Amino acid sequence: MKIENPREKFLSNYEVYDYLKEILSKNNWGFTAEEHEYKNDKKWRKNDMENLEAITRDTLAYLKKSTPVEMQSPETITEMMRFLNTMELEKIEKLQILNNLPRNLVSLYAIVEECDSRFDEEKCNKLIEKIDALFPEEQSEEVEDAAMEDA
Amino acid sequence: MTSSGLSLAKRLVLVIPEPASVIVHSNDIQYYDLLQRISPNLSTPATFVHRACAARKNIFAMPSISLALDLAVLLILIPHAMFILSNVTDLVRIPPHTFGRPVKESVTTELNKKYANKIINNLGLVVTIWDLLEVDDGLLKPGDGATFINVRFRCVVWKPFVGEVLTGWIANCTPEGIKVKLEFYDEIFIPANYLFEGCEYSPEDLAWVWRPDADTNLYLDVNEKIRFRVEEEIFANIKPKGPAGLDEEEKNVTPPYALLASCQTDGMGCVSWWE
Repeated sequence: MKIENPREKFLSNYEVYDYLKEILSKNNWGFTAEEHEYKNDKKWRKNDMENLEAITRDTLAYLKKSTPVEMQSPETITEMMRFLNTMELEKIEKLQILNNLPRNLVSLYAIVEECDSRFDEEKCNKLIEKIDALFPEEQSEEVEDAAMEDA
Repeated sequence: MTSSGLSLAKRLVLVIPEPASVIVHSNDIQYYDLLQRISPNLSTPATFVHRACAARKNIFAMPSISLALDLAVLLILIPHAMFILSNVTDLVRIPPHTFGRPVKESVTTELNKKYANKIINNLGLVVTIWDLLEVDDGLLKPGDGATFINVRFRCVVWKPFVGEVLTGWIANCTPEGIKVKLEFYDEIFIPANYLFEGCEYSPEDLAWVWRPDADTNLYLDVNEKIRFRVEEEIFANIKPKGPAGLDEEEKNVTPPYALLASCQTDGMGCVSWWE
């Protein structure tokens, strides 16, 4: 084994999510034991792909539970990226914004280094508004109001 | 390695890749104060070496005051993200019973068997194979019915970068710190000195309590959703496992890949606090 290039590209959570979902459906794996529906060659899959199955299931569970991947789609991500490109953000910051979708100033400040001096509050709020518009969440308005008061 | 800090910052900062630290040469007291003010907000533990020597003569150009004030930020982002694609070559053994399948399919299967859910030292946790870039013709070995194929492939690797903010769940609280788990990875530890200032361990509740002021008690309890910042990654070389049953009793082995995290700045800690 030789590692040619340890980091060729970044992957957003959504890309990973999408790809793992594909693997999951290709192999007819389910999330629970009952959902399992092994193909004809039972033995081969059961014995050999355990690790892949475990990591696919667990990673998907994590992405679904702790990150906002489920409300994203290629279209909304493209639009979000277009918007992010208008701001002077580093590539990695854009990726983090996309992965976490900060919905208040505190979480935005946690991701973007020295956000308060690089962008004024208006710009930050615009960014959060954009996130709320593209990826609507039920109680998003309250959250934003609370953030404004805090600030 | 390219650092993707601010272009302004880049000119003034000497970047030492790992462990991340910043050395700033400056003879300007104001500038130094500024740095001290912002240092708690830096993503990585930074070391400031303040030199009262003539920095102007140094290889680092002395910033003008206005430039220094613009430079409210000094950051090093070591460019990694939660998931990355890595380019790897390997020789795979294709067993004869899979000869009936298309080559690419059986190669991917064999690679997944070998790599999925495994940690590569100094790289990270391999999730799955992403795609195959090159698949050579097979080679034969005398005495083995299998073929051996050289492949170049890309795999999805989980490796959060130092400074990245992640969310997970509290698995365990001890006086030493907090253990955090993600669904697929649970070697994350927040040591006590990386917690908020004024955090105390409460033995009755088996939880950590943060008191930002006298009347507020914020609990970091088991199974709470917690946001934290990755501070350090530790790789350990692990011996391969012996035959099953031989070394079963070794329970407390060092994990091959562990993360140290912190919970000190605004926005960290329980996700619910900040909403």
